[in-house]
Amino acid sequence: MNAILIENIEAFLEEKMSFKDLQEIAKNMGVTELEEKINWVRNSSTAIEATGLRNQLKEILPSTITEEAKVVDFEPEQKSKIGKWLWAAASVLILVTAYWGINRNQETNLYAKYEYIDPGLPVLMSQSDNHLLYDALTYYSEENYVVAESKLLKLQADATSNDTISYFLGASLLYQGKTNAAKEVLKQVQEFSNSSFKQKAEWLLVLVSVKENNVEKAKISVGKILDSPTHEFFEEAQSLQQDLNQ
Amino acid sequence: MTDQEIFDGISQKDNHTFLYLYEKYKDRIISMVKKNSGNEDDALDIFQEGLIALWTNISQGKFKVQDNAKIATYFYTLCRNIWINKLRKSKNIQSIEDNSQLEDETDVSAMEEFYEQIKKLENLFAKLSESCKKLLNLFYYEKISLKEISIQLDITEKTAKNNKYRCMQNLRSIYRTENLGQ
Repeated sequence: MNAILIENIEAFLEEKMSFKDLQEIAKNMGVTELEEKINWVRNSSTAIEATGLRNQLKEILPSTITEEAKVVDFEPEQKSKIGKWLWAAASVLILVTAYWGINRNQETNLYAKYEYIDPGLPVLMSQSDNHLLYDALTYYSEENYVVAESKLLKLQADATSNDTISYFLGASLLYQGKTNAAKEVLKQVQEFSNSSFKQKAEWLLVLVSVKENNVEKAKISVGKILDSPTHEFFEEAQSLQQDLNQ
Repeated sequence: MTDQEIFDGISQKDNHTFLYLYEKYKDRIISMVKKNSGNEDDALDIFQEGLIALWTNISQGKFKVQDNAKIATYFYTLCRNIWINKLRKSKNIQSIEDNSQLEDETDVSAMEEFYEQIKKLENLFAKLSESCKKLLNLFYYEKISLKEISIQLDITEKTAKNNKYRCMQNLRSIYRTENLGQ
């Protein structure tokens, strides 16, 4: 199967080409053989997408696994053997981490330099009609992003669209390093044109790209902020642009 | 959410819809799994697999919204059957304690069969090199154009195109080898 045939099959699957036109292009092939190839491309691309979806679900679905459930109780005589293996594994891990760390140092430094930790909203329970949101934001302001995430996720699932929930959920995800999920949620804040969190969310999206070491994407996002001189992160964006161009 | 909204949400891989289904059906799935030799972690796995099975069939036009049964009923039946299969594989099955709400499960069997095919291909995809997995994921899952991919990966568009073809050929080659070996 050559590259052109794969491209044409993909065009057919996206309904950009008729089966008749595809047959014309693959005229040396019988219908059965062509159908087998179409099925293969269709199923393979679905499988690749399913793998991506699996990762997406792992990021967004709360885990029901408790830490205690993960503890494995070894017998005492096994401990020494296992201990040796653990030491060996730990040594390898340290070496790998050190190597990885050197390579990632620049990226980490850049993220640390521009990191913005939103302290949260000063909401008093007596002033809040929504006690669940108050609860979630309290965990958030205490920097307990794991619990804040699970509470905000529940609110997001129950509520109609709300920029406050999306913004603080996105921030909680980013601060835990869950960049893919953070990206998805922070993009939702952009849909609220009058949101007071819009500019902050734009900056956090820049930080997502920096954390992912995606320089090109970061440059594009920074460029958008620099288009508006009144943006609350304009100065940070200017400085980051210089660093990204170095 | 209406059935149509759930269908569209799953089709678009929408997180809100997944979370809605999770909140609405997790207890039922946990209960079914717990009654049948499993625990909460198993239930979460099964919930996830059920969603993937449903998405797989929706995305390929093999499942459509129907008047005679709710989409949630199909989802639940899929989860239950995936759990039964898992128990069978571990030879840990007795009789499963649950009542199906579907009178005719022919559709669900076909959906399961297709999901199993896709799952096998997923396992083959996992055997590709990291660079191939990254490129194919960007193209097929993230739906990013080859031009945009070339910028992200700092390669030319032509290289991105050639690499995508090479990676798909590698996947096909693994597929053929595994199939011949069976």
